[in-house]
Amino acid sequence: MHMTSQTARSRSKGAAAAYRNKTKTYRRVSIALAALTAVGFAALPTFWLANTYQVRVATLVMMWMGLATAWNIVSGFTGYISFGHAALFGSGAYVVGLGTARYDLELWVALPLSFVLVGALSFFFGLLTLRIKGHYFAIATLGVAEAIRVLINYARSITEGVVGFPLPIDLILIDPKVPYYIMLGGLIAVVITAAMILSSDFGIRLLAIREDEAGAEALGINTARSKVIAFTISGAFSGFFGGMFAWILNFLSPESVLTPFVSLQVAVMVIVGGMGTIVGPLAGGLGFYMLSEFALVTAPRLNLLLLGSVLIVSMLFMRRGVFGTLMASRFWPRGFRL
Amino acid sequence: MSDLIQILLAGITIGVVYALVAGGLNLIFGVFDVLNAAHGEFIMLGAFTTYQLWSEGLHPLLTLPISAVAMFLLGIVVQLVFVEPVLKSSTIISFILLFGLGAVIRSLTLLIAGANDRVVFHYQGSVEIFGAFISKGRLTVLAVAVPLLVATHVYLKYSRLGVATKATAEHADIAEACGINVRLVRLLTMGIAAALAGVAGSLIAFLFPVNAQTGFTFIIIAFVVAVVGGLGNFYGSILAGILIGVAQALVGFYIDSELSLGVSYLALVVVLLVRPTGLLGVKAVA
Amino acid sequence: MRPDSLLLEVSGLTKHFGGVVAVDDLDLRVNRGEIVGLIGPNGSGKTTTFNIISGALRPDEGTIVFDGTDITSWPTYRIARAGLARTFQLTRVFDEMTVYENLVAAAGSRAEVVEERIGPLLELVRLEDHLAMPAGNLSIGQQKLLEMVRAAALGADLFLLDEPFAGINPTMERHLIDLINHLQSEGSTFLLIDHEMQLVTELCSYIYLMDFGRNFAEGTPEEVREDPRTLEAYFGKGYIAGTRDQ
Repeated sequence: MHMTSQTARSRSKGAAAAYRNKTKTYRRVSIALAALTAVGFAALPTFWLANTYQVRVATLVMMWMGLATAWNIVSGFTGYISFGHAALFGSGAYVVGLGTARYDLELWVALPLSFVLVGALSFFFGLLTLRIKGHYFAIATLGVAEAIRVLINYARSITEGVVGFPLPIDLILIDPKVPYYIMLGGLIAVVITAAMILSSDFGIRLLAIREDEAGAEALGINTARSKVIAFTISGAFSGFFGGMFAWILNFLSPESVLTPFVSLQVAVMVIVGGMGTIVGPLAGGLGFYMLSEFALVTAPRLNLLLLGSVLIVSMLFMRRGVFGTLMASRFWPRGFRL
Repeated sequence: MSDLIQILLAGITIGVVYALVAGGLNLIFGVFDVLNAAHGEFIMLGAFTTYQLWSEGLHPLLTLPISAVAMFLLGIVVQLVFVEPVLKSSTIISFILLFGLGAVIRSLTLLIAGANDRVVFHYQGSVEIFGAFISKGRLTVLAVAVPLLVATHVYLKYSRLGVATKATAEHADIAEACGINVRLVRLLTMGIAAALAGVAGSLIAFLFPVNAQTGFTFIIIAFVVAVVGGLGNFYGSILAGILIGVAQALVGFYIDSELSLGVSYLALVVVLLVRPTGLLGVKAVA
Repeated sequence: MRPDSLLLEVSGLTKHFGGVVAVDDLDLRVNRGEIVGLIGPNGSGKTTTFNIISGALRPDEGTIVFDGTDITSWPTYRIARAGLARTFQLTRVFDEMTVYENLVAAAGSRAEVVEERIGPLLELVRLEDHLAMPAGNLSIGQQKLLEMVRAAALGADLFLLDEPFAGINPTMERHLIDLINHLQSEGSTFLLIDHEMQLVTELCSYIYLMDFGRNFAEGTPEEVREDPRTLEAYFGKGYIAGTRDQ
C-alpha cells in the first residue's frame, strides 16, 4: 500500500475543482435562463396581454407558481409532504384582509406583515408537526390546517366566519399592473430563495434528509433544525402569496383560501412538474393553468376529465414529474440541479 | 325519548355505512400503503347500478349482490391497470393517480348519466319493533351492513386468504417468502374493498338521493373515519364510523344541522392533535 | 500492552426490548489509535450496542464516555459532530445525490474542506473520477468505501464500523483494509463488528467477545482464539464437553 503522493493529492484536488467549476457553469446557465424568463414576464403586460382581465389572470398564475415553489422548499427538498399549506396561505390572506379592512393598515404594511406573521406561525406549525414522519406527517399537517380553518370560521366576530368580507374599495380600484409587478417581485424572490437553498450546503442537508434521515443524522446533520428552517421559509412565502391573493380577489372567505383543496392543488402542481427541482413547480403552476384554460375554451364540460387524465398519465409514466424524470434521465448532465 | 332512539338509529345506520367504506379504505392502506382517492366512485357506481337495475324492475335487495360483484371486478381492474405499476413509488403518487382516476370516472358519469338525483323509492314507511318505529330503509341498511361487517371480520380472521391478507399487511416481503402470492392478496383486497363500497353505495341509494358527486362527498367523511379509527385498522373504522355517525346525528338534531358536517372535522382535528394514530391505533389491518 | 489514552468508555450498558435483554451490563474500552474488534454470534447484541453508542437508542442503564465527555443522552447528530462516526451494515449512501454531494453533506461546510481532508482518501479508494456520479450507481463495494470516506469527511476520531466487510469481493476488501490502515496511521481509532475472523485477527489489536448481550471474553486476537469461551459462545457448551471427551 502506498502513501498518497503530492501528485495524487493534486490530482484529486483537480477532480474536485473540476467538479466545482462544472457546477459553477451550470449555475451561470440557470441564472441566465432565469433572468431571461423574468424579463419576459416583466414585459408581458405591456407587449402581450390585451386587457386587464388577462393581466389579472397572469397575476394569479404567477401566484400559483410562487406558492408551488414555496411548498417545494419544504416538501420537495426534504420529502416531508405537507398538506397544511392552505392554512399558511389562508392566514396570510386573512392578515392582509383583516389588516386593510378592519385595522386600516396600508397595503405596503399589511403585505410584509403577512410574510412575517405567517413565517412565525409556520415556525410553530413546523415545530409541532415535523417530529412526525411519513404519512402521518401529511395527515398531521392536514389536521393542524383544518384546526386553523375551524378557528378562523368560529372567530366570527373578527373574521366574519364563513360569510367572508370584501376588501377596502381603494384597493379594488388600483391599476392591475401594480399587483402584477408586485407578484412578479414575490415570485422572483421565492425562486431566488429556492435556488440559493438548493445550491448551498443547507440544501444538500435538506436533500440528505429526503434520502435517508437517519443516515443524515449519523453524518452530524441536525435534521430537526434544518426541517423547521425550511418549513418556516416555505410558510412565510406562502403567507405572502396568500396576502396577495386576498388583494387580487378583493373578497375573503375561508372557502376560497383555507380548504385542503388548495394544499392538494399545490401538491399536484409540484409533483407533476417535478418535486425537488426549481423548474418543476414553476412548470407545474404554469402548466396547470394553461391546461385549465385550454379545457375551458375547447370543451368546458370536459375540464375535470382532462385534468384527471393528465394526472393519471403523468403518475403512471413520469413518477418524478416532468422535470424530475427529465433530470434523472441519462441525457441530463449529472449534478445539474435546475 | 323516542326521538332520541330515532336519532341514535339514524346515526348508527349511517355509521355502519361509513364503516363499510372506511373499512375498505383501511384494508387497502393496511395491505399495500395506498390511500384510495377513487374509492368514492365505487360507492357512486354501486349506487347507480342498484338504481338502474331497480328502475328496470329488479327488487332492490337483489341488486346488492350484483352491485357487489360488479364493483369487485372493477376494483380488480383498477388495481391491475392503475395501482400495481406505481406500488413501488411513494403513497402520494398513487394518491394523485387515483384522485385523477376518480375525477375521470365522475366526469364520465356526469356526461353519460347527467347530473340528476336518483332515488330508490322502495323502502317507504316504518316498522314497529319493541315499541319504537324504525324506518324500513334504515332497517334494511342495518340488516345488510352489519352481517357484511361481521362476514369481513370472519374472513380476515379465519379464512386462509384472510390470514394471508394480514400477513401481507404486516410484512409483505416475508409473506412472499413464505409462499403467499402477495399480488393476488392485493387484487383481492382491492376487490373486496370495492365491493364493500359498492354495497355501501347501494344502501345509500335506499336512504337518500344519489348523483355523480355522491361518492366524492361521502369519501371525504370516510377518510376522516378511517383516520380517526386508526389508519389501516379495520375495526377502528367500525368504532369510529358509529361514533361519528351518532355524533353527527345528535349534533344535527339537537344543535344545528349545519354543524353536523363539522363534527367529523372536529373529530379529525382532535384525534390528530391528541392521538394521531387513531382511536384503536395503527395496525396492519386487524 | 494496550495504548494508554482512553477514547471511548462504555460502562454497565444495559438495554431491554420488552422482555428481551439485548445488552446486559456491557463494558468496553477503546483507546486512541487502536483498532478494536467486537465479535460474537448473531443476536448477541453487537449492533444494538452500536446503536446505543451512536445515539440512535437510549440505554436503560449505563454510561458512554467519549473523549472525557458523557454522551449517553446526546442525540445522534451531536455525537457525530463530536467525532464519533458510524457506518451501517446495509450500506447507506445518498443514492440520488452525487458522490461530491454525499461528501459535502458530511463535511457540512465549505468545498475547501472536502478537497483538503478528503482528496487523498478519494484517490486511495479511486473515487476521485466519480465525483459527479449519483452514489446509487456505484458498486456496493464502492459505496462502502464512500461511506467510510464520508465518515472521515466528518472529521471523526472514532469510527464504529458495522460489518464493513459483509458481502464485498476480496479486491474491495483490500481497498477497505488499506483505507482503515491509512486512517489509523493518521490518528483515527476504530471499533468494528465483523464475522470474518481472518480479517478481524489481521486488523484488530484487541477483541471483545459478546454473547447474550454480555461481555464474554476479551483480549488480543490470539488470546481470544485460544479462550474456550469463544468456542462456547459460537458453538454452545455441548461442543466443548463433547471435544473434551474425545
